Amino acid sequence: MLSGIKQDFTFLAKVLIKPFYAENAGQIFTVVLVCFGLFPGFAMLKEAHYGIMIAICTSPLAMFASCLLWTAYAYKCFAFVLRELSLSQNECLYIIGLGKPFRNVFLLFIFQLVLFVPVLLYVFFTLFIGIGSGYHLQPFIIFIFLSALNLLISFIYSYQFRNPQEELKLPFGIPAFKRSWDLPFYLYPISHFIGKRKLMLFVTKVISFSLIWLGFYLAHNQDLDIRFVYITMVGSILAHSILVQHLRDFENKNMTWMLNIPLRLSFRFIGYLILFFFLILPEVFFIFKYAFNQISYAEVPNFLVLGIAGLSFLHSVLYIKDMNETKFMNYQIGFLLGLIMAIQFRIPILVISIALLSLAYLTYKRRYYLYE
Amino acid sequence: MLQLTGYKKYYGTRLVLEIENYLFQEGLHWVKGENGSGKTTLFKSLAGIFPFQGKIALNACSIKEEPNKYRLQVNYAEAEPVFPPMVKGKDLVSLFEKYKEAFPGQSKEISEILDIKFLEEFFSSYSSGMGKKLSLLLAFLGQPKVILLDEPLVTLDVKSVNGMLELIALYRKKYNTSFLISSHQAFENGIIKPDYIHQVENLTICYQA
Repeated sequence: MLSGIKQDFTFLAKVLIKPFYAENAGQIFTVVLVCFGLFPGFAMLKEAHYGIMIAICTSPLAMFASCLLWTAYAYKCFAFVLRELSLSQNECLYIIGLGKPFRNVFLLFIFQLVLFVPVLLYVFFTLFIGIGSGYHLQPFIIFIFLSALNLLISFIYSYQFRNPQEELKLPFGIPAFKRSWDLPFYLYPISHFIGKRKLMLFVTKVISFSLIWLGFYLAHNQDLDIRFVYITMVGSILAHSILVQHLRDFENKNMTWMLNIPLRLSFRFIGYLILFFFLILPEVFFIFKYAFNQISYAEVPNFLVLGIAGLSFLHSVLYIKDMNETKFMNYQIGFLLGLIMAIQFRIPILVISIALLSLAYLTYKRRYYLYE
Repeated sequence: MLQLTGYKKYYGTRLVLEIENYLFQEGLHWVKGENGSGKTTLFKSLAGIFPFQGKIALNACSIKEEPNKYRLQVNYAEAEPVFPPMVKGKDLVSLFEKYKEAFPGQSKEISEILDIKFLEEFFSSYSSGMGKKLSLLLAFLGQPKVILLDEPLVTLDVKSVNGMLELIALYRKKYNTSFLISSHQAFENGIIKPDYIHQVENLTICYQA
């Protein structure tokens, strides 16, 4: 009954699992960084996570909040799979639906668990510590809840695979946005994000805002040291990597005709700067809220310039020859460490931003007409 | 007119086209070749979309040295056009009108000949034929010296094919525009006839008698 399941799984891994992690690598990396990288020492890191895990296993409220968070991640996986299944290039996947129902559910359950690995790793340690500390009821509830959640999603996948003619609508979907005004070409990607990648945009913004909030919280506890906010702003820029990668992907697939347009490189580059300006603007408004009592108004433009420069830099890096996920991850780490150092050494933000913009423009100028 | 010198195109380490020295004279060119022979690759290089080694120049205007001047004179319609889904046809027409320096009323005239009535709609709702017509409309905007049409007959209805051939004849006569057309089917009719026929094969291109 389960014969050939490995072959099917390999196929799903290539077509769905790998793109899922490729698309979400930036955000997962940012979350891991915030959860594990911001603690001054290992002892504090261990203590903090031990506390969180015990809280999940003892407090119903903490357990409920965690389950909500994990459900949100499951929703993200679910939305990704439905979106990919709706693409014409993935129509061949429906052949899997011809298998026996039980076999399909089993295959898709394993598939869903692989998408769920980042959550499962944390849950595994939570349950291990919870049970080891003598708590049994809540770890049991968590185990049952996550099994049921993933099984339910597997059943829905299986249904969709067997009934490709029925288009499943996402529950709690963000309503479509209708535009009635003309759009300049440099904002085409934003219209795409708002029209087709609402969830990705939403999750990015949630992570980004949370990071900035954390920065102000830490700064407040450290005699208003603004450097904390700048460092978390760098994290916020990194959280946007997923959008920047998607933007490049969008250019490759939907905007290659732009290469035939007689437009100066400098104008093209300015177009991207305007795009990034609009992308980072919500964060700047959010920061502006704090300008009243925590930072001076004069600091606010620094965040805007740093945001635009950081996004431009990450975007231009993607034009480098033979760029791939691993290489881009290295650049992201380098970007993060370099900027943290520069901020720690109190190099003016404007200088950092100008340096980033110059690097971005040089890379862009050298590589723009050479990418495929 | 359109000169390729020392042209080489690799995908990774695989050489897919190598053209030592080749000249496309003014006129109407039919570029033939089997599937995968490199016709689209050649067209995309000529349009400035694909990078390549060597030199491509239009009447001494090199694509690498004067990229914008070159792109103003060479227009391109893809075999399978893809545009941003959340953009309307009219947005793209406005953009091309501006940068390709179209003259007033040109897009309207071409739209009428190609029977295009869907510019208010988002590209996401277009059929493949509608996308093809839009791409042809964009390729005819401005006053290009060369228009590259990659498989222009595919997915078009008979009326639109006739409209396109009519446009080619009009541009040949009125603006002396040259055309490079790749097609598996013969496209000559009472109005137009290719002046030159080329064959892309064995990783290169050659004239066909």
